Amino acid sequence: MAKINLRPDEVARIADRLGREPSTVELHAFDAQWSEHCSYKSSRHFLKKLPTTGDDVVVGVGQDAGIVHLGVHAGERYGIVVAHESHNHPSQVVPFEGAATGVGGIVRDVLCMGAQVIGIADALRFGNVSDPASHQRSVACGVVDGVGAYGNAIGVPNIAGDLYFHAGFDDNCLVNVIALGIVKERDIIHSRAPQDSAGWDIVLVGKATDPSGFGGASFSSVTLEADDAQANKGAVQVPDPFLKNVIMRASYRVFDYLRERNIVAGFKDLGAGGIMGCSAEICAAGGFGAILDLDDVNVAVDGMPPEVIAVGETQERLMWVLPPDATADVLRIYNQEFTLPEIAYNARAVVIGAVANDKRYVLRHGNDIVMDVDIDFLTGSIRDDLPFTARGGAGGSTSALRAYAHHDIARDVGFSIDGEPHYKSYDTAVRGRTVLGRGVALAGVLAPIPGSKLGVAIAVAGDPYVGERDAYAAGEYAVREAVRRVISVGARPIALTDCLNFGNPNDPDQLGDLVAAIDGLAAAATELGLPFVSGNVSLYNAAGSGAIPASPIVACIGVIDDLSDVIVPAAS
Amino acid sequence: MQSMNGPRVVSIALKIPDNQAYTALATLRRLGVDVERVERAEIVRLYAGQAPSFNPNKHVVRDVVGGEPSPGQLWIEEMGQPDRYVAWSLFDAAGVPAARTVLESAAHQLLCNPAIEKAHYAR
Amino acid sequence: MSARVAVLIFPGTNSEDETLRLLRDVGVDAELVHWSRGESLPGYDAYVLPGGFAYEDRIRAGAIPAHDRMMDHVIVGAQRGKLVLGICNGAQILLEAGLVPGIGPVRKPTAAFTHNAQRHFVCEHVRVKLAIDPARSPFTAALPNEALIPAWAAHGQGRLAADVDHLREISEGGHVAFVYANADGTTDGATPNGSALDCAGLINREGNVLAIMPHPERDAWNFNHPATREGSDILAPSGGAALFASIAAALGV
Repeated sequence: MAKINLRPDEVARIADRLGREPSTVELHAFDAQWSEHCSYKSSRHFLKKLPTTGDDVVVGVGQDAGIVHLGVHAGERYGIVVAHESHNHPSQVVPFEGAATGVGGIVRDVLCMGAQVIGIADALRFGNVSDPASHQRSVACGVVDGVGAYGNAIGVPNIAGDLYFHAGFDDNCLVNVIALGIVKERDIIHSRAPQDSAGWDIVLVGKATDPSGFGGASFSSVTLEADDAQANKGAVQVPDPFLKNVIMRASYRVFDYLRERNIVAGFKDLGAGGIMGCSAEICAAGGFGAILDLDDVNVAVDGMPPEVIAVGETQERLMWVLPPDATADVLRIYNQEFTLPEIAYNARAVVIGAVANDKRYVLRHGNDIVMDVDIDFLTGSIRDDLPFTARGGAGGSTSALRAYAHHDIARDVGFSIDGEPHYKSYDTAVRGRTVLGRGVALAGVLAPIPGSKLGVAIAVAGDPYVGERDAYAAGEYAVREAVRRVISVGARPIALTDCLNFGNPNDPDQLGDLVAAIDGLAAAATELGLPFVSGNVSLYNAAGSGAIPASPIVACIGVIDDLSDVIVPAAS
Repeated sequence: MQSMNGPRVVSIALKIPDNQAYTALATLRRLGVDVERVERAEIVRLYAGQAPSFNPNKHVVRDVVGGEPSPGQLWIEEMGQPDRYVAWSLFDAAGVPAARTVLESAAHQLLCNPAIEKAHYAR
Repeated sequence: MSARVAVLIFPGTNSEDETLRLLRDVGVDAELVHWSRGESLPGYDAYVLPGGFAYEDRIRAGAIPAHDRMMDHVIVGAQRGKLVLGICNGAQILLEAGLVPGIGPVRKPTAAFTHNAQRHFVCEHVRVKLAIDPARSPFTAALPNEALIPAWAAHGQGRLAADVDHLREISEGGHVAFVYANADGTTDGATPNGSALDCAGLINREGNVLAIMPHPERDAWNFNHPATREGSDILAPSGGAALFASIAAALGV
């Protein structure tokens, strides 16, 4: 049984609102939804300082992925979809699976906007790996294998990334992954139940729900302790990139089907909080409630308790909100045309509930109602005002300049596995749209639209050797360096994403570092006139030896209007 | 628990549904092999000081008594990888381990590529 | 009427996009055929099996798709002389199906593209060199002698392996269609995976079935190699497109 990490005051607040003691399922549901991972309860109010608007922003922060305008080809407006997340704790505990499911999750975030997934980037931070027999080295090798295995199998090229080693990551590696997609702007699908969708079907697609991965959201929101490592392995999901490959292609077919019929549907990735988190958020976003029957969920083993079916984080699952007259066709595409049930045990698309006109979120299991709560209370924003100390050069950028003035600019050199740079195990050319792949330049470049000269560039940056000195400087540096790298290949920077990897927010100094880094990010981005369109906060990155170096990691997206003008570095 | 006579041999099987076995069963049946259930495990021979690498939430590890295939089992060795095998266990409708002739048919038609692999059966 | 080419999609295929696009860009009438629509395959004049991880490489790379119903049609077509090209995972499938090197019965493999010598996935830009007389196969007839073609090796299992007798038969029978090569055409140190005979591609005796491990279709337009592009049109096919152009010529395009 997974541990509940809700505080006593939070449980009391839930009981007070419900007017009764919460059920077991409800406790687990709130535990996931009110975790830092899902709620950003101790960081959201600081993030408001980041610039998020601009002429090129098509979909800003708040959905599963951001979208920026790329350009016009053959009369169609195209957008670049981008999402950026961490999978730090899972990768530390079970490196291969943790890193692979990190890629799997970020790919779903891009897919569910109605986009084709076209590229991946990764930013990795490991401890001291110089001893070949060290745990740190086995973590590093497992993570690299996991990132590669997943991207290679789904056929999405890894085109950019960076890598640092620092003893501050000995007990807590960082695995940040970024995915890119391409979409016609009029074909964007939103992660919400559409207008007038009361009574529509809620359809679950993908892998059979299994008991592994229970407690994942909550697990991502506590500090790792050595004693828990074995137990925590159960909270890490098992990746199945092969099934994902088929689900992606089947979903592309569903996109075509819906467009041909002008059907507006809702589509969302299942991540933290599982079926419960996804269905509650997609329905709440449309202003609706939901009623789901857990007995209708396709499961891998019989007899799972309702809280595991509802909240477990089995990978490779997505959720549609569909008008009932389209449901049979969509089920046929997944189950017959793309034969999901033949590809993995009990994988399929199945109707598990309906959008409700009231604002109740109700789960049934057997003859029982196991959850019945106000959907806005479940998914609404909560806030923890934790104390923090002033840190870093928040008063100006001179300390920032000092912190990185003499620092060598890291290059995409990789680390050696059997004498080769690590990224040689990443497929960088699949899909045939790669212009500059891994190891060629400071940024990766793709030709995202066949027949068009438009190009998209992406680079990542963030330096723990700056972060350990000054969190504000680390934020400023990450923005400026990512932007500089995109410019270096001849691209025009248009948007940023960020992942803020920090320590325990209950420690005023560590929370102070987060606040200072956000100030640094905001100052540099505002000065450069660039919006953040996607982001993620990963806290509680600390173990044993203390907090990790302050690690704001930034990706910059750039546009190349004519790929003839791409700048290729001279061969070294 | 290394035996007196040689290295420890363990089998590592998935706790979650094994899609390789799932597909092998469907394909073998389509090829006319008389089989009702297929199980798959990795076999590793461990020498002094070596420990099996596995995830307790994902795998079941068992010692292989005798260190050899049992009746109804087929061990596939990849040439050049002498201490690792893939073990296929085939059963008929009554749950009885498959006969040698059935195992040989399964190996020749699907489970073993003789250019790179070798099949081992129970003695 | 020009030949129609089917690009097969198995569950797990991941390179259908660039393969189809390049075929069309060199003028071939090609379309995707999905695994649940395999019954349409007899109506096509040639088959291309693209890269990926068909059926997740379950059992062995290529083993399950070699027994897929779609391959029933491909095998019959190959035996009747239709052109069949397999790239990367498609090549592995053709070896498991016994169509290349084609020195044993169908679906009884005599060789394999198996685990790289380094036992992990390698993504590396390579060149392959034509190692047979171009006239020996319709696939290569439009290529110059010892043509060098750029491509991406991107596989965990691309090392040719077979027993000694079969390797001799493969070598002496002229089945090694392409070898890995350096920019100057030499082969020393060019093979990225320990492949026997430096083999990057195998062909059957009749010359109508070609299995090639690296992906010429991923380095096939000027934008894939902007530093060395040919001419000013960044969208024009070049580089690895040479092999596909030769196929187009064989199909009468």
